[in-house]
Amino acid sequence: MPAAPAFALDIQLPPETAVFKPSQLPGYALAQRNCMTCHSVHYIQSQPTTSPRGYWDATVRKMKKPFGAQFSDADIPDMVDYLVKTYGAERSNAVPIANAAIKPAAVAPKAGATAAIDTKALLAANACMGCHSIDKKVVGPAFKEVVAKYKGKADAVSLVARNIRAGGAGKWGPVPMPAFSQLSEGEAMALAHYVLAQ
Amino acid sequence: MAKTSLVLTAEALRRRSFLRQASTLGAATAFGSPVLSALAAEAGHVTLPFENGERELVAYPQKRPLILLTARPPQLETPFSVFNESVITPNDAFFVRYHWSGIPTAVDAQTYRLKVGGNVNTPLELSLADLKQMADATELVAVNQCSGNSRGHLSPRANGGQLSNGAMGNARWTGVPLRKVLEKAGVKAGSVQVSFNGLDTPPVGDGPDFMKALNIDHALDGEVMLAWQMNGADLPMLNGYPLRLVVPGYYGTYWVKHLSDITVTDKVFDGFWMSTAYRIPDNQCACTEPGKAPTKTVPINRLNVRSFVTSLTDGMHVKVGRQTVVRGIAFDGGYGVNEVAFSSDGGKNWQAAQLGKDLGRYSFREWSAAFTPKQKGNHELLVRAVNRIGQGQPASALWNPAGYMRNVVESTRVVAV
Repeated sequence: MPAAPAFALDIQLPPETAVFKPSQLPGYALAQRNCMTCHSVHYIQSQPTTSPRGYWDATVRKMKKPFGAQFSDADIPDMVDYLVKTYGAERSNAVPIANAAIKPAAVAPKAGATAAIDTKALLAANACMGCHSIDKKVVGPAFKEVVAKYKGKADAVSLVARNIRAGGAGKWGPVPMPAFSQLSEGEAMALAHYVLAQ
Repeated sequence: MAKTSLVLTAEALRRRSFLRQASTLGAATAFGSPVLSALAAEAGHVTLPFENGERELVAYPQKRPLILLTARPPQLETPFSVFNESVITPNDAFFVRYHWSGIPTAVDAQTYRLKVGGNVNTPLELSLADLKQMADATELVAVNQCSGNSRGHLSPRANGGQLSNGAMGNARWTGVPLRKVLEKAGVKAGSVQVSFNGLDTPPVGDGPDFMKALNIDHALDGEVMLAWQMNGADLPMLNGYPLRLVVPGYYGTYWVKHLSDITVTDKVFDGFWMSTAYRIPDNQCACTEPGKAPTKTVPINRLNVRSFVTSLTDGMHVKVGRQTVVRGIAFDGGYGVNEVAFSSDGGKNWQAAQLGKDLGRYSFREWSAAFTPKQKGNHELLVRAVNRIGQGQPASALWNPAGYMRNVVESTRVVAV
């Protein structure tokens, strides 16, 4: 009798396409990195649009306690403001929407160009370790996996830097990485250097 | 692409259901009325009948296109037309609910083990083969309904999963009674509850793992079962492969998927998902005034009585002067539906519906009633059910802040032409 397959059942989930609505409000970027670590945007975008500020505030706090989300308390007011003005009772056409088109960084890596940038501070400020670790998959690939994937590619740093700023899904699996378009090309390059050095 | 509004008679719906699998419209056929908002479906999209009700239809592994509530974790609602196809909900149409996105997507049936421990004489580690050898397989047809099924219909709205009426399903479950497993482990005196854990986990952080508990007598009642099959086939991955708990007559929150640990306890289990979440007002109606919080709560438990028209939906046309047979389903928490009443005039007059085959007291029960519209225009169809202990349905919807246990008398507005 032939040996049973390694897995009796193995499924591939379809791509996750829901994204937060772009906004000039500071809570937009915070929502992307703090919320998408754990779940898709559908939880937010499917709520009744009459949901008031008190609901969004209580819900964001609930994500920390008891649900274990690891963002800073300081992020909460901006997140709540963005959510209620984009998905809830304080929506209005007057809220400016950012241009969602991201121009990828086309700058070639220059030796020493990133020396002045504090990479550790960038990692903390952008909560990269919320979805990534050095050596094992969390939500996104481990940095060591990224190193392996881009091994031998001459333009690895600028590719990874572009992906950091543009976000996207499909390269590693169905879960999307939010865009970090607020990073300068230099900052993205510094982070790319750091990741590819692991 | 312009939105197409198709107006179908009940006859056309029956013909169309045969074509459903091959149709580019997927599981939800398109029908609607220019007058009343309806479940208008285009290829890949539906609009549920409440504010912010636009949803994609997406095919997940082992599933036909279903209504996408969330992608991560996957939460999928059954298009309501499925309940008119058959009293048994097919595996590929059965709804999907998760709490955390750390879900298993690959399970090795050979190395899978179920741990049984806690206040027992002999802790166990059982393989699927062990479970299947423990006793003759038991089969039971039972409804699994999400606690928050129909939450999107509440007025005022309640936050949470914004579901229409499709977070429910009726399947034939095959497995072994939990009692057999607990007897093999030997439940010690002084045991109070049994807790259940599955393979799904929080994705990051220290949030409370999804665990539920039953009182020891309930766990030992011989009906609570560990199921490895649904409608004669392995459980779909998204419905709990390779093993799930089946708690007949109780809301779906107890039906833990991808079961991994069963723990007998000598005190009441106080995990978050029992002590804080899934609580209902501790009163006869499990309800509060709209907008108000309850003063005292208990864990949600047994299903209340519900009934639906399935052969017609809002805005459909029927022929004036011609007899129309209306069909639907009814169910309760396991006492058994005793009677179903139907009205074609908004509740002024009621007639007894005919009940269909009895598949057991935990199953959907089919019903049918005939009416002949005497004049053209709008007709409001109502259906209400009563079970063997006299529980019925309220004429006006009850409310609680979590949006649980909706069971109002359902109304379907058709137009006689």
